[in-house]
Amino acid sequence: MNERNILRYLHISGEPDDQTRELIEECIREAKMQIEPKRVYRVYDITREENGISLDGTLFEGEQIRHRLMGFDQCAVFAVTLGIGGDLLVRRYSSVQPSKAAVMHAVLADMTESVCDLTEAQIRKGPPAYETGVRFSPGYPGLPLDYQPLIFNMLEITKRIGITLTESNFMIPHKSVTAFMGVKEKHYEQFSGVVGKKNFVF
Amino acid sequence: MSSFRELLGKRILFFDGAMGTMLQNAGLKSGELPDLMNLSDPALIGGIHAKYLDAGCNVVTTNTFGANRLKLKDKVGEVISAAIGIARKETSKYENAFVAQDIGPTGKLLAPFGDLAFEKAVELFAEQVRAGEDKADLILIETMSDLYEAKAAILAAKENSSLPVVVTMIFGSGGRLLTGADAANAAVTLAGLGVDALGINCGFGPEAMLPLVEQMAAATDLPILVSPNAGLPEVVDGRTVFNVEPEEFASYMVKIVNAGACCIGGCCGTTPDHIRAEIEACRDLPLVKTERETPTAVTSYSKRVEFGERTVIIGERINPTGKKRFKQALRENDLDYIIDEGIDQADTGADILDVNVGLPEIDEKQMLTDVVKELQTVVSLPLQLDTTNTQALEEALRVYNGKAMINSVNGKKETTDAVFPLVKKYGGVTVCLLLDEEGIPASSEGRLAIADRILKRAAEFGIPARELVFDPLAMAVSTDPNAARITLETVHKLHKKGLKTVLGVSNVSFGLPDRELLTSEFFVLAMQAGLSAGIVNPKSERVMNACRAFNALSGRDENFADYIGTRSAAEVKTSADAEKKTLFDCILKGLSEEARTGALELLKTKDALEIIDSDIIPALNEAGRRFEEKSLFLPQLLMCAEAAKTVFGVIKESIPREDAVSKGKILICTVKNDVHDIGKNIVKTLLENYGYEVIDLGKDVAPETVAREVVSRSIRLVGLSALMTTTVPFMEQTVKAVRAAAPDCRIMVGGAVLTQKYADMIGADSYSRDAMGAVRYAEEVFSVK
Repeated sequence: MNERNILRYLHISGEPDDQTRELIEECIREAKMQIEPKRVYRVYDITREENGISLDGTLFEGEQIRHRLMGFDQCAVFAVTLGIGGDLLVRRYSSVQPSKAAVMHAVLADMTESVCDLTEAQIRKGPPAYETGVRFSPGYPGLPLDYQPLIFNMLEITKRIGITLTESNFMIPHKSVTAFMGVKEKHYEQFSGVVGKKNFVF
Repeated sequence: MSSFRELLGKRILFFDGAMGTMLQNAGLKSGELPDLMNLSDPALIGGIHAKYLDAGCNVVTTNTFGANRLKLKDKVGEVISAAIGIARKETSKYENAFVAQDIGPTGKLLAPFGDLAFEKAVELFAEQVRAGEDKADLILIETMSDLYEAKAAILAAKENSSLPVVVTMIFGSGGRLLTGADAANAAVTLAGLGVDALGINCGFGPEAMLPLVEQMAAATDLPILVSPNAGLPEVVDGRTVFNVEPEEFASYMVKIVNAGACCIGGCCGTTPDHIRAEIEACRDLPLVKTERETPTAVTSYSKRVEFGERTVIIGERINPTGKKRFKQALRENDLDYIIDEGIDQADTGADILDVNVGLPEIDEKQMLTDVVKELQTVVSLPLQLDTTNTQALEEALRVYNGKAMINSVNGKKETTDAVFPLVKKYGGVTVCLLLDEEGIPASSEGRLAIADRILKRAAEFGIPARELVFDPLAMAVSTDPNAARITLETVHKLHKKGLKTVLGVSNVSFGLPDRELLTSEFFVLAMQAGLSAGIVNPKSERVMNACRAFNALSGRDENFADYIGTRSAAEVKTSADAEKKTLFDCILKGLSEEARTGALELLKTKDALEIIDSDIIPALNEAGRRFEEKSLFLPQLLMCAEAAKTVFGVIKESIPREDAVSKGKILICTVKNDVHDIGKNIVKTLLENYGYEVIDLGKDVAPETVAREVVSRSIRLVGLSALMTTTVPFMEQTVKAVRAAAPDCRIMVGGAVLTQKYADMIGADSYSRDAMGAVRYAEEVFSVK
């Protein structure tokens, strides 16, 4: 857990007071019991097209994605989620204790980031070991949410880790991320995998 | 030739293995819709069925896993009809070979967490069922990760077909479903919905499934179907492969049959060779029935409560009887107040919550459904639906995510005959009051006679005794000194007959002083007599302590875990009550509990309205000021608001209703297609504290709805929230719709992506950077009369 990030999400500059700190710790404790982090990722060869890139036959149209993957031959695509437990927690507190809902939201956001970081580290480690670029996600400027169904299809995300898409391509559970990341192999072997873990240690 | 129903549970039936794996082996690319191959390559599909039948299986599953409107648009009927035809052509060559019409999940998450409405899901599944025209031998609903979606599919099947229905769930790590339910919970909930068989498929290999099968077998007496994967998936060279070979697979399947499964098949990665090996190994095994009697149990989406050794605590507080504040909440549609009662009871140790929201002047059907929907998103306890309105009961049972308790029927035939058909359809454990047209019999024999009558009537509806809980009725001792004795006698006799019992415990003390004392002592006596469940106030420490002490003294509290746990918490609480703070400080610091006691104390000497003016509002203002100068942050601001809300609650009870003043009505919501509501909820909390009446339309609200509500409720100020750039256009549409319908209504907007510039561009009157900004603007709007 990164307390600085949690404070940043809560727009707290400087030191939090004791009560807020207590609330943060309480939320971390409860969240750890409720979340079930899962991830799925795969590394694809990039085919550059006129109007975007394609990964294993799936075309992602747009200049941004081409631009961001410049200098890489391969692209890791991943999805992570904390599971529905996170949504349940926020919902439970949002009407009765909004302060806790807000802090919980920040704590879960940070946990989601941690799972992304761990996934990145896992991809880097391999085998084979990779050098990686900066990860980026649908919803960023120039990267439409229309990419979501394509990614979901490629990684069988709903089936494997239980994230679903709404009609407007939001993910549920909310505490979920999909991302692209340019990678360069350090050795020459094919690799990809699926991992689902309970009681993740942060 | 026998029918599937005739053979089910009588002998081991073998289902087929994977379809998807076979299609991938035949060259299906990821992303292609396998269901369409029923039309494009029927010979290939028929060939796969033939291989499984040749391996010896009894049931082949149609290639229609994803054949719903979301994926196939208007091809649903054509695809399903073709698929069943293909399968039938192959099974007709064999004796005792059956076609299962396959129905997989929609791939969407149901509301309230997802955006697929429950009834919409029922409709999607119903279309699939109707397309099958009962031409298959059974309907197989499989790979369901959410019990709520499974329920939608089962209702669709039952309402549109007379075929047997078999349902299998996919469990995640830890042996739990998406929302936290374990295998026993799933078995209880599905059995309640009247399925013919239930079980597990996909997700795990056979070894990992074994403990789940054992859990299911202990929770239900229905036939169990188990279709494991051939191990866990691994991706090798971009293709998914499974690592358990046929022989090993078969050896585990023997254990699964011994654990209680009577139908077995295979899921991802299994091939005709796996099925052949499995049949070879299991064909001559005897069917295993579990020794344990199926328990009486109810469920929520994540919890199962069994009526066993320990007395089950049913929280009685969600009930307007004799509660002024609760009635007011019902009349004002104040769901938050009702939900708070639920959460409080869950926190103080209730196992189940009774939900009674009947008032003559409100629409009970609507209210009960709304409360059930709302409660089951914030409280994980099973609910007891308490109503005499059959329509309200049915609607609530339909949306309830689990197997509910139903309160109640009695010896009058009109009650059993109205309620039992619903129990049969939706599942549920029914409270049976031991009274009839003649009233409450004076003797325990008279009450037992009514119990017998109800049991008989239930059996005629196919409802076994374990689905009933009998209430011998606790009456006030103040009106009849023998009342308690007769009730306890009846509890004891019912208990001896192996029947479950429940009592509304607190009635006993009606009309006497210090009711808690009598209630808690009577509760202990009733538990001693064998009471299965008590409807009590879990917020009463005395009652709960009596129960804990009883459990500790009667060997029902292992290692005294519950007793010791609650005792040490109680000690901490008393030692923390030390120093005194002013009400202003308590609110400013966000100490809700201290603020509540402080306010009660202050009310003895100070006028309620004066407290608002001299303590609450100044504290709120001070917190707001510090927030704006950034010496206090959001969580503290909200904690302060919560403390203020608590104090307002205390004060509201002491002011006559007509004196309570609202500073103005404000309507807020998150705009269409946006499902983020944290910011909106924060704004709501603060506005309410500043004395505004907030009408919260929720999230994902259509522009027309906002405009309509603005007009019908004569709203002067609307607050709109949007988090994503993609939903800002809907905010703009909403602004336009409101402007067109109510030109005088002011509109404020806020949300992560908004800026002053954006707000101006879409024509809003005000942009609020944060929740305090919304309060300030509201003050500006409502200060102009």
